[in-house]
Amino acid sequence: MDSYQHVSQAPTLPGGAHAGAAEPAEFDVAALYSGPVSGGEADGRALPLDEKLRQAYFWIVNHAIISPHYDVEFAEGPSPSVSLGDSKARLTLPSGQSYSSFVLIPLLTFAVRRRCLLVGGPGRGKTASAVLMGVLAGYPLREVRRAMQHGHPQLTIADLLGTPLPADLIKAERIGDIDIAWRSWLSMRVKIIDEYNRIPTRTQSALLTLMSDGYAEVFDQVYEAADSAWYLTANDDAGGGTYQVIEALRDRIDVVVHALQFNSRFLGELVTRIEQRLRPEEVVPPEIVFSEAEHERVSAEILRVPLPAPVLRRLEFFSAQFELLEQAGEQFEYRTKDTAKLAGVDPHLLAATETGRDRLADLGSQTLNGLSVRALQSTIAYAKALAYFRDREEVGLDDLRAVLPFVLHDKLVPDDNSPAFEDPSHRPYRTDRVSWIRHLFDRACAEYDRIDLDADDPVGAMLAEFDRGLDGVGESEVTARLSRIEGLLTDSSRSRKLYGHTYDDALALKYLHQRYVNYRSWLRWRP
Amino acid sequence: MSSPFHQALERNRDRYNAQFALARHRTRSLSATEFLDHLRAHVGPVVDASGVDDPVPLTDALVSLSLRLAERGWLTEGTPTARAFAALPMLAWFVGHAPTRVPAAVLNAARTIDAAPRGQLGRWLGAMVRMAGVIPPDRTDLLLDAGAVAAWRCGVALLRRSALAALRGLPADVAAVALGDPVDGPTLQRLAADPWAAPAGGEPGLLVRERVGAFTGFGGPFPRPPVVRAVDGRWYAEVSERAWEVAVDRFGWDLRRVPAVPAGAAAGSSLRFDGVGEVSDGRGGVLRLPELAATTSVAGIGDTLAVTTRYSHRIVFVGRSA
Repeated sequence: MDSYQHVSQAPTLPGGAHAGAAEPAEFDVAALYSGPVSGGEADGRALPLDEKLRQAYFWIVNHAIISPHYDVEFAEGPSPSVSLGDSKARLTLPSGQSYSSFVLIPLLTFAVRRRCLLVGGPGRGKTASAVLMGVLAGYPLREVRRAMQHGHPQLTIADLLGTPLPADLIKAERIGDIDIAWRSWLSMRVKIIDEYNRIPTRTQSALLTLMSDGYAEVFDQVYEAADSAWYLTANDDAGGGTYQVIEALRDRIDVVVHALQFNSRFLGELVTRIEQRLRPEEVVPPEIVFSEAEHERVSAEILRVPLPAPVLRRLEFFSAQFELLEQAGEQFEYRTKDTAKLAGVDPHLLAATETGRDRLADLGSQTLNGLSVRALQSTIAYAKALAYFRDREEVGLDDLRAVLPFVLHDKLVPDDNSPAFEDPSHRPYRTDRVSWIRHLFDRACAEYDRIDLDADDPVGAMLAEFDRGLDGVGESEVTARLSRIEGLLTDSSRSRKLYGHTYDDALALKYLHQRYVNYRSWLRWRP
Repeated sequence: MSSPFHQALERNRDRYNAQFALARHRTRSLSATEFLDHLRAHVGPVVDASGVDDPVPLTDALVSLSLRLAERGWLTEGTPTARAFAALPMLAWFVGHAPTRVPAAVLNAARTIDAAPRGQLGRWLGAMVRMAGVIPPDRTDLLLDAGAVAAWRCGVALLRRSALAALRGLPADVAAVALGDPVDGPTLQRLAADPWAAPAGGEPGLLVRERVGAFTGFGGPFPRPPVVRAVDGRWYAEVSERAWEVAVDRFGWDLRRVPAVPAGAAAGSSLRFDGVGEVSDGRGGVLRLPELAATTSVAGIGDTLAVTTRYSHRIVFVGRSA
């Protein structure tokens, strides 16, 4: 059996963009002191941080969390699959290095310092996973456990954030004179809120401010918290907590991951741990612990991973599918699900009255909302993090496809009454959101390919032309471009059907038209 | 009053016990008695002599390291790591300043020196202890640089270039301990120019300086007799598709696998070889070596000539030193 202190040998991803360093050109002094005896911090400095992140992942899956699931699948060539049971459940054997979402997503959250919700039944390792992330950040286990906030119905804002000093409460003449004894967990780089759906609503609001704006406020005193990775756990995210989670707080969560079931074939490992009183979180190898500087650096390096235009374009196309609701408004800009929601009308009722579109083909008909800017920001951050973790030079479509279901898990609300879910093969999507979102993305990509937008994207070409700037563009050229915009819109009007992406294209063309009109006015006005 | 080490053990007893239980879980042969003996004999003296205010981080680092070593059998008596660990109490102040870096560096170096064909680990450990007496304990980098110079002198010939560079930055008293003799500017230049020169004394004249390599059947690297080449001032050995860089000087020799012999200018030598076993230096010095009669390759750099023959798996280095 592998060693608990054993960290997977680098490179953990042979064939990665930066793997396979050649033999050093010169036997250097440093070579005398490097070798198989690891000293922790010294080795950590030398190792690229993406490699360190992968070593952390493999240590966790090999030694800490018994999660033998590889649900984040990647293919490098054909992947065999078999169909099992009456339902012909397909089991794919991925040909590329694949990962367990329950470990990978929290680890990416650690790297990008965002907010992760771990959901699943009791005793499935949600809290243990979050605690491990605290230890990876270099905090002693006892400190991580002490800093963990446990949601319960009596949790007050003072319990959560800090209490005013009693002497100040008596002596202070102004509220600003009251010093606050801030809770120590506020300064930590990993913050854990256990069972967040048991926190009273008022305290949730204080938590919201801390999570979203990075500060806490008590008695007019403000505490600025550093960027942190947040882990929230919930036994039942479908409203089974003591309190309803306020929507704004739920919306601040960047990613949701399920604690998958325990595989009974691995019970032997549990027996051994019990017999020998093994607690992996107590013996995290120093090689995979990230110092504060490394944590900062890994976040910065992730942000620098490029998101190439073809991948971005597909994300644009996918995200355009969901907001349009023709019956919700009269003015073109207001024909959205958001308009209906703000008016208190169920978007599904309005959608049912639409007649022009094929509601089975239209992906937008499957959701009750569109995607927020925050959701798209989270998507981009996690796609970059995954590409970084996989040692890729830039974000690939497979990275994007892999993270989307976890980022949009609670962001994209399915319309359970949509006819798309009536198809027997699509019924599981009502309960399996991860597969549903992945299916939506695959469908969007197929449609993107069908209409050949990589090769023929006149709206994209016009936006690119505008992005090149207006310096030296004369009135005749502006007039020509305006005509092209009007021509494109006229072409679109010949189709009876309006889909999400054509709706966004039409609004983009209107934007361009307005910019050119303003520019032409300025050209005519200037002396 | 209990020692700092015992205080640390007392404060974290459960954690250390859990760590040992984990290690035992992985390596059934791990002996609790032997590990306790190791803690008592080697870890405790380091912690107690380190002078640190808080003994816990140092104890943590040494216990973790010891467990990793014990699991690999690297604390077994006579292994280079066990010998190096036994020297750590004499480097305790340095270990206290860098609890993870210094022990790992010393143990890795011990393995490297022990693996070198002419490596003298005991001599190197002695030099490290003596250098620790003249280097301030917060100068870890200086200790390790001096350690590299000492390792070169103790047989790690591959370190020659970087050790010479490190030597230039060492204070005189440290350099003297590292090299075993005082070294001044001219001596340094002589050492850099002449691979057979010693800091003091030496063996002048034309001599067989070293026989490098061996047959794989006897634990060497060469499956067949190699050929030797000199490119851009470096030695290379080749056998079929395999190539090695050869490091050789008066302190020892070693080989390092390289993908191929690089393209470059072949160096020249002041020594002459007649092809049947006679080497001359053009200044009256002649060396008759009948063993080199069936020559397969000859290469030269400066005052050194390397010769291989079809009947030997060794490369013979003949050198003239002033």
